[in-house]
Formats: sequence, C-alpha cells, structure tokens
Amino acid sequence: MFRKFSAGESVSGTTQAKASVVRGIRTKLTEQYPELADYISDIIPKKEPLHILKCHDHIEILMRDNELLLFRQRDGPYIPTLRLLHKYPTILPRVQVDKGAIRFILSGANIMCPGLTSPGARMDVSLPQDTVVAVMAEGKEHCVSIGMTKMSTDEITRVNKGIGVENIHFLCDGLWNMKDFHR
Amino acid sequence: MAEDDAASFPLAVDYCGVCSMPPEYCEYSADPSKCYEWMKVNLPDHYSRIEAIAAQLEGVSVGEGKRQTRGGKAMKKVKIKEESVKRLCISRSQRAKRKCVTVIVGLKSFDIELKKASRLFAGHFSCGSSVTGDDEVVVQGDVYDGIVDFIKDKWPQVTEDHVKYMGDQKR
Ligand SMILES: [Zn+2]
Repeated sequence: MFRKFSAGESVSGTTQAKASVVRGIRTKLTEQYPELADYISDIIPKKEPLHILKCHDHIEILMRDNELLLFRQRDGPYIPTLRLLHKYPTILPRVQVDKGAIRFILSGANIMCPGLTSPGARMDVSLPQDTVVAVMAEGKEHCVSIGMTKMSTDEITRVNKGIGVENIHFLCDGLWNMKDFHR
Repeated sequence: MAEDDAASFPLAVDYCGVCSMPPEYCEYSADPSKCYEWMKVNLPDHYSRIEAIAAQLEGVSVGEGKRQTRGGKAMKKVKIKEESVKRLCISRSQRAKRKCVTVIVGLKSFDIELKKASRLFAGHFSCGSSVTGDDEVVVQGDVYDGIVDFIKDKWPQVTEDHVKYMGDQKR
C-alpha cells in the first residue's frame, strides 16, 4: 500500500479534525483494539489538535504533533503505523515469520503461508480472516511489518500455500520514511 | 521475543541513524557496515548485543553482510542523494497563437523557495505566475529575456554559468 508513497506526492491535503470527529475516532479505536483503551488518552489526547492527512488511493493518516499515528483506507479499520506499534506492541495480535522471510517482507512482498508455518515461525493464537496483525520476525524484538490475514490462521496451517498475510506497511516503505509531515 | 507483560508503555525504541530501522534489522539495510559503524558510536549497547548474537550464530563478524540464500529480489539499494547539479533551465512555450509562458526549472537546487519566487516574478513582470511542479515555476508571459537578469539580481548565488537557455519548447 505504501511502496510508492511520499509526503510531496501522495498527500493531497490536511485538515484539523473537529472535536466530534476525534471523539468518533477514539470510540472506534477502542472498539477495534480493546488493548488500546488504556493508552488512548496518551495517543490521542482530547485537548490536542488531531490532523487528518488526505492521501491518494483514499488513504487517510491521523497525525498529532507531526507524528503519524494511524491510517486507514476508505472505511477500513484504523491501522497503527509501525512507529506507534513499536511503542505499544500489544495493541495488535501477532504472527511470526521465519528469518528467511524478513528480507522479502522488507522489499514489500506479501507473506506466504510457508513463511508462517515453518519451524522459525509462530502463530500462537487462532485468528480469523481479515485481522490486522503485527508481523514479528524470528529472533527479533520489534515487528517488521503490519499486515492483514488473507485467510484464517487455521487455514494457513491447513492449506500452507499462497498468500497468508497481506503486507500493508513495512519497515522502510514510503509511510515509514515519511516519519513526520510538515504542513 | 521479550515478554512485555511487565513493561510499561510507550516503549522507547531506538532506531538506526543510517537506515532508520530498529538496529536488529540493520543486517538487512542497503549498507550494513555503515549502520554498524554508526551504531558503534551512537548505540554501543545494541552493537555489542548484535555482535554477540552474530558471533554465536556463525562465528563471523557483523561487518560482513550475509549473502542472500533464497531467490527473489533483495532490498533495493537506497539511492544516495548526490550533491544535486545546480542548473537553471529557462524555456518558453507557446500557449495560444500569440501568447507565451516561460518555464523555469531548477530553482530548488539554489535553495530558493518556489512559492516566493513565483510571487516575485508575478509582481515584477505584472503577470500571473505559479508553481507547477516539484521544481518548476511557470510565468504567464514572454519574459524569456528579462527573467535571468531578474533572478541574478534577486538571488546572487545564481550566475550566468548556471543558466541554460532551452529556447522554445513544446509542452
Ligand atoms: Zn541501520
């Protein structure tokens, strides 16, 4: 999603979110990520302005204080940026890929099932299809990408073929490199 | 993976100053040796940890990049920004029968703010002017002959040598 993405070309405008909109976002986030409920006031404080960056492909990014927090496409779920997830690693369920898959993820490839079922990989919790997941990597502490399951984890184990998790946002992609945004 | 039940959030995560990833991923950066050099100075804790892991795993020093074992394409080399060539290209293009616009490309390489420049052009030549691209200003009028003198006047860092006259161009 963010392979080709840059502050100069992909962002078409910014607006400051109205209080009611911010309230809506906060509610939605706590519904979506119960784990986040404890930190929501740290991540999106009520009193501080929240900006919404409108980008191409119907992507919008929430920004506070020049820090990019979450994004979503169309009416999809809000997805944290990797930097936010590194700070609050428990907000997303995890899957783990083996070491060999890391370099492919870093070049933007989707995560194939065998990378999730091999000895170095882990899927500890059973997850349905279309779950936003933190993609961890064998031997690494921080997650390498954020993805969405294309089939349930049970199916991934059973089928063990094809794309298991879609790679949405990975280290060093356009969104990562944007880091912050100056209006 | 570290158990983070006891940890309090937000975690403070260190990032590599060269490749911007967490240091544990530096082995996958475009130039790991540069990362490790930086890490040695700025994040010595991470460096010693990574060195220890690498030594344990294969008995090689971290400086040597690991070869790719699976097929497929590796991470793209990050293009290193070269000291951009300072050049100003002036061209003229015909709009309607007897109307011209003048296109100025390259102001950015002189650290000139395009918006300010375009406003100055508009004022000085009494015509419309706008920023039309990443590094392009269009002045609505045939100011081909006067614009360079004006630019040299306003921004002394631009000299005649920098300017390239492109003549009439089709857009
Ligand atoms: Zn690095």
